Amino acid sequence: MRLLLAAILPLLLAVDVAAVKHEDFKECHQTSFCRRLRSIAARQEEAVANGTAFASPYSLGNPVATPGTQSAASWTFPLTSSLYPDISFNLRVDVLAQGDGIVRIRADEVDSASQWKRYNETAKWALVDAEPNLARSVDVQFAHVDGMTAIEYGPGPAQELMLEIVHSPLKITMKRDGMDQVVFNDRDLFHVEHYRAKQLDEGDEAEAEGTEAASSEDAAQAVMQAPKAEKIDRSWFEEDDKDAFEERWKKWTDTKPKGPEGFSLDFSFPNADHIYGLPEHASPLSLPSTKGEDAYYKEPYRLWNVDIFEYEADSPMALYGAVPLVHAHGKVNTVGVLNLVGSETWVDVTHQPEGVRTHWVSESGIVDFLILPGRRPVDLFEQYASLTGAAQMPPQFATAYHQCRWNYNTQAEVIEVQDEFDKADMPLDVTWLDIEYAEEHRYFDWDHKHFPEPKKMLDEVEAKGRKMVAIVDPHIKKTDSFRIYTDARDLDVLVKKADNSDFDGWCWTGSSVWVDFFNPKSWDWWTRMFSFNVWKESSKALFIWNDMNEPSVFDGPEITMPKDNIHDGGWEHRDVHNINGMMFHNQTQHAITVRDTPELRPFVLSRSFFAGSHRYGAVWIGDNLGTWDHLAGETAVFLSNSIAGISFVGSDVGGFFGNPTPELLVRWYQAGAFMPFFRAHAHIDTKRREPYLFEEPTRSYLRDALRLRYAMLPVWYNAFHAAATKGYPVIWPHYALFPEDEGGFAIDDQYYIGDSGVLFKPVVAEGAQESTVYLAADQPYYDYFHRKLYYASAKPRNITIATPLDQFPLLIEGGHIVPTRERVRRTSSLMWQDPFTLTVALGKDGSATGQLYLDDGETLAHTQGEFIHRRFSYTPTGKNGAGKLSSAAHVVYDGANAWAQKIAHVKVERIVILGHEAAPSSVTVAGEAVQFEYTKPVKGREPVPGKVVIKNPGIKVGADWEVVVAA
Amino acid sequence: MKLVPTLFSLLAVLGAASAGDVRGVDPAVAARYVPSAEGTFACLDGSSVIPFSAVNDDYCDCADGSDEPGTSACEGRSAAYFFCWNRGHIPGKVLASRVNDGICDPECCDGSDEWASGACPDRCAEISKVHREKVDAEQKTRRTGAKIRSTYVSFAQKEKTRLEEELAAKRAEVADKELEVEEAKAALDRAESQSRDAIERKKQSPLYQSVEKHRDVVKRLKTDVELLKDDLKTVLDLLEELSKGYNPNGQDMAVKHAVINYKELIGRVEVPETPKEGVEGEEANAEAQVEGGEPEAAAAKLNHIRNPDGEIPNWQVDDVLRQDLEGLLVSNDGDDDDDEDGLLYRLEEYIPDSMFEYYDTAREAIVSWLTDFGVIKRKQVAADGPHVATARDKHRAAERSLTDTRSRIRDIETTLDQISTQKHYGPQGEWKKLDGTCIDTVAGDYTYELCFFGGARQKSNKDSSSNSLGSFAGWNTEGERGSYGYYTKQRYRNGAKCWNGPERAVNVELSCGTTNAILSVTEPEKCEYKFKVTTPALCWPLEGDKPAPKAQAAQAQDAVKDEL
Repeated sequence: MRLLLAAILPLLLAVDVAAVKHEDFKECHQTSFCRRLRSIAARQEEAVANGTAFASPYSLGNPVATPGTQSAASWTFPLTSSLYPDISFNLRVDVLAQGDGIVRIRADEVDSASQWKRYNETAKWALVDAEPNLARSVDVQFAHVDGMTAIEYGPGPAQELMLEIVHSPLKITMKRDGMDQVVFNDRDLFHVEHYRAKQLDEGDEAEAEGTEAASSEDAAQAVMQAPKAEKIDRSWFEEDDKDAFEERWKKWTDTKPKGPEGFSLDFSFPNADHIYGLPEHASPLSLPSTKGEDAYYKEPYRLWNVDIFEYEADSPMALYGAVPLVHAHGKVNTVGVLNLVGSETWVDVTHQPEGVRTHWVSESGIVDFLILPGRRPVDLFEQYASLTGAAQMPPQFATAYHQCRWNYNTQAEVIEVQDEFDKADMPLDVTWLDIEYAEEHRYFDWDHKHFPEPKKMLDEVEAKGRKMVAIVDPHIKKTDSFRIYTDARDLDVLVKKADNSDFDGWCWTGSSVWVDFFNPKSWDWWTRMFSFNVWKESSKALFIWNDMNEPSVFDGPEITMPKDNIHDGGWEHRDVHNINGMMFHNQTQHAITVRDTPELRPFVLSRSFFAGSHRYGAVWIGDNLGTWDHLAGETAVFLSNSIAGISFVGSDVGGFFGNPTPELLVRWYQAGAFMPFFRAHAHIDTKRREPYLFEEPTRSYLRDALRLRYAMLPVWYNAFHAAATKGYPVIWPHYALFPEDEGGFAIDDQYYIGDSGVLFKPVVAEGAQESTVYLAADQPYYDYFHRKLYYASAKPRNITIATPLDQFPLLIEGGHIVPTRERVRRTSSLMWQDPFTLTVALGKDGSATGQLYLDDGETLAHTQGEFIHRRFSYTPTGKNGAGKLSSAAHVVYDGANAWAQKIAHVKVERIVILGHEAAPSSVTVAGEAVQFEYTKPVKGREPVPGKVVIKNPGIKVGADWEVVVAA
Repeated sequence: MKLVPTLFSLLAVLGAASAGDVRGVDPAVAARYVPSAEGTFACLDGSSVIPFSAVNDDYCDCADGSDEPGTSACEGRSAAYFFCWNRGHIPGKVLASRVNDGICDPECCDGSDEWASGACPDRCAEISKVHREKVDAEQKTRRTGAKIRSTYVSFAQKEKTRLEEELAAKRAEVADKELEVEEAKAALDRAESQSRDAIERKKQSPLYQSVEKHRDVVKRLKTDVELLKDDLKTVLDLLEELSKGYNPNGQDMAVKHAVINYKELIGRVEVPETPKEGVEGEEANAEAQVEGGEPEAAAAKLNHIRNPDGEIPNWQVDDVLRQDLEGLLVSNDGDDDDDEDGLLYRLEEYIPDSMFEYYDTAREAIVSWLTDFGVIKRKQVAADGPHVATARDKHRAAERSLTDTRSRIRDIETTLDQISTQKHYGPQGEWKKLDGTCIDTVAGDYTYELCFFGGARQKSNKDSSSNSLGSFAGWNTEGERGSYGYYTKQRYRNGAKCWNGPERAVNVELSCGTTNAILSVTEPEKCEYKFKVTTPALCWPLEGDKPAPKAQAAQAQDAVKDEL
């Protein structure tokens, strides 16, 4: 009895502790390939410390033009390792036509006697085009002499980029203007594990004899195959690994039929001080070291998409998504590396005087990475988008406020929630349904006991211009009465176990199966499942939420699928794991796009993601805790995701777990109003916290945050448009906007919305009465609410802002014109013809610019030219603030397009000019005087900007016009 | 509908309307919407004075938004709302943000707020008709309900009368019974005055001392064992609760392991639908599987764990502890005089009252055992023992009877108090009728039951499982005691604890209806339920109908007070 109690009691106690279960997730040393490949670095470091030699065993032969790519900038080198002279590899170097000179390098085993093949389809899923166009060989300078190859390339005739390839030992350096930017295999850690038969060395043989007969047969074969003559010492480089062919962890066994097939990459960035990227991690934006004396973390950054329960606010542990991309940044240059790998990957980062060094180890797949040349972060965004595509323009409603909870339990409750928002005069666009809407968690099938008439409910919601989102998770209840299951089973599109039978596991639904969305046979079928003919109880007002798509398997290792599960093409789950969630997201997004004719903009939220997921919709950062440290840590996560394309991102406002205090909730709503994706969500065990439930003053603070989001929707729409057209993030970290300001490189607790000049910093400390904000631009900054002016300064500076609970830092950088809609309706779609306010924040030279992009927010007509895109400019025309504000087309478009006509009557109701030093004598539009009010500036220690407010100037937002301000 | 203008304000606006006709102005303030001599308008909050032309010019000039009653320009400001006349129906108003948003709000059935969008036709006639029908139906319900309620009231009156009569009778009995107790006590005291010293001498023997020590040890051991059993029960109950109420919230491996190990322990391991490598999932469908499995076997196993074989049964230990050592002292001197045997019987005099019942039941067994072994002689039993015992019995019975009567008096007083003074049963005691009445409804997989003033339960429709949702804990804490609002909510609290959650609770929202019925059950927060319930008890008579007999009730209350 005692023993039993001793065993159970701690378990029971553990239930109440809100913390990640470290023991449920592996550390590097618990993972065979990571332990094995990471140890190469340890041996290299030891050798360096001891002053002994350590040189890469790999070397290249002479290059040839890659077969089949005549007259293109692509060369293939034979690659060999002195450890395994009989094994052949190829290394291929491409210079791409797009993206200012992106170089792609691939390596794979060739002429292998093995039946196995390395996974080579990551590019197919991550990139828009798995084989992007190559530069023409005539456009680059290629030279090869004596074990050295040099390729000069880059945009334009200057060709300031060079790839210097040292053949032996292998080293590849990307240079700009002669300066080393990226050095591949700088530390000689590059390694590709070729396929091998299971070998038993002498030490193991005795042990092997005692085991089963089959394995001793294998051993005999292996011994016969092994060339007896050579006895190469590999121990200085390669570590023996008893788990190489089979790995146990807790109660799970990974059969690893292919044996070791990992690879190790080392990249150094000699001119970088900071490295960003590798989302998704709850770590600072500027990734701290994971090794060495200054190591901030003890473990490498891990990319292995998992359903992690109550994750830590500051940790390199794997979360729900993975983008194997880094930005290495210094004052002069920024370069990027995109490593196309979908298998489990761990990355060590060290910061040294010689720059930033990284070591990547992955479990399987070919070597396939791209070097993005920069030279600035903004260029990297464009280069990355040229490879992975840009995000889609989201539907308008998706940029507004979403109300979610696990769960709104009944049809009546859904209506009640939106009615309560109306009563409380709080805007709301989307009400969400978590898993309980579905009968037995059989997604698609409404629980009619609680949702007797879903269509009626959807129509009622839509009648007020609102939308709904319902969850459809990838686990499918394994029961013959469920059409989705029987369909998928009969179509034979389920993920298989290692023995090729259908895999089943446990999730919300109980015993479940998973559709293999890598299988093209599943695609049309899945699309059909969402068609209004098939899913009759849905409507165009219903959108989709894809959760649990890492995938989450409750009884699987690390709460996901066994790695030896089999996907389409015979690939193992280990090969494709990190891509898996994106496949599901992709197919759901497609289904939602095509279900209506003409097609409408889809909206699908996903938890898991990979490089390229931004093409398919939004993500949120999973099951956060309602604590101050989570609120504080999230800003960095948003920024880290954003620079890797995953910019339509947000967190559960209020925190998924726990019951936030009113103060914390207010701060979270203020932060949420500035997340690209703004959704409140809560666990089923939490207290209700819809914003209308609170007493004053909390209630008003929450309403203010919601209203501010709605007023600023045009600012957000502009930023989403830049993301959709240029691949820019919706929110910008400091280093990306001010790449030369070293003081801002590590800043990850404040950010700008697009190019709007709007700077936001969430207040994330309990009881904070003031906040410090870092101002980088040599421009005046204006408090968004016109309360304060912060003078321009050539030097970046910190300012302190009072932040009682109803206030937070929100500033406009001088030189920008910010369009807003100050009439907040109950839902964003009802604001389509409301007038605009233009806030002109004068720069220190007295000028300012801004833009406004508008389309119907719903259809794909914008891709057919139905939009308006205006450019606003304020130019000084004389002394004492004389100037004119003008509106012109920002890009060439047909001003008479249907949308432009539809909103031709939409006016500008107010122009606010901030930073105006003297009262204008008149303001005129087309010669006619218009009314205005002038407020004098306040000088001194607490300056307030001078301000001109022009009332009803009689101009239309879509038209060309000039407003003349006379001194 | 939020605003029902008074006759005065209606008159006021008629004047103003003829003067200005400013769109959307509330008649209550229409007089202010007339240009001043200077052609200005003063914002209602007095914050500024603006040209009258700026009223309804689709630009917000006033801090309170009062200059734009007819547009959405001042949306979000305190005085920014649009007044709709809704001719043929009740006037209403909408927030400025609703003006010309293309949505037809029921508050503006005339569609006047959508003057620019033109989206909404005048539906007031239709809406008014529906509204009137609704009001009529409500009134009808109220009248019918009030009749039923009046039967509740008369029930309460009768009950009150009955209780008052009983109270008077019981109070009369008290004096007699007090006297009886006194007499019995005197008789007992006399009986007890006989010797009780003899035994003290014998207790000094070493053997007796040693036996007492042993018994003390046994007693402490027993306490230890009981504490351990309590702990074990707590843990097993916890686990049982966990395994039943296990909520698959999240993939918490610790919980899963706990449940699995527990089930293994009690031998309740299910065979999953399909053979599985892991066992994590089992508890997820444990509930379903347990039904089909062997719950009795599991219960037996559980019982075995709680009370393993080979354990000394409780009664054996108790016998040792309860063994009458003094009695044995006496029996050792078996050949002593009869007084010693009598002592055995007199021992009951030293048994504390709380132990008396146990002793009483065991006595026969002990006596017969002692007799069988020849320790005492049966015939001696009747000798003189009953002398004290009888006196004691009599005294005890008299005391009990007095206590019972007093307790009944307190009960009656409380009930009478609840019917009247404390308004527990409503202003006219009408809820008394419903005390103990149970109603139920089926919602989803459960039947929900509410017993007024008792408890609420959730019963599974699939099996016999059932959870308490709480016991009556009071009326609406927000309403003033005795007011109508006070009786529109009942709170039921301290139900069965939810796994990883709070104790279940119900908020009952009551309204007038012709039957006692649960209209709906929702769970706005986990384990916190909301019942919407109708009852005639809340159908207070309509004004103009027969007035509530308040005076009568008040008199009754006073009468009770006087008697206290």
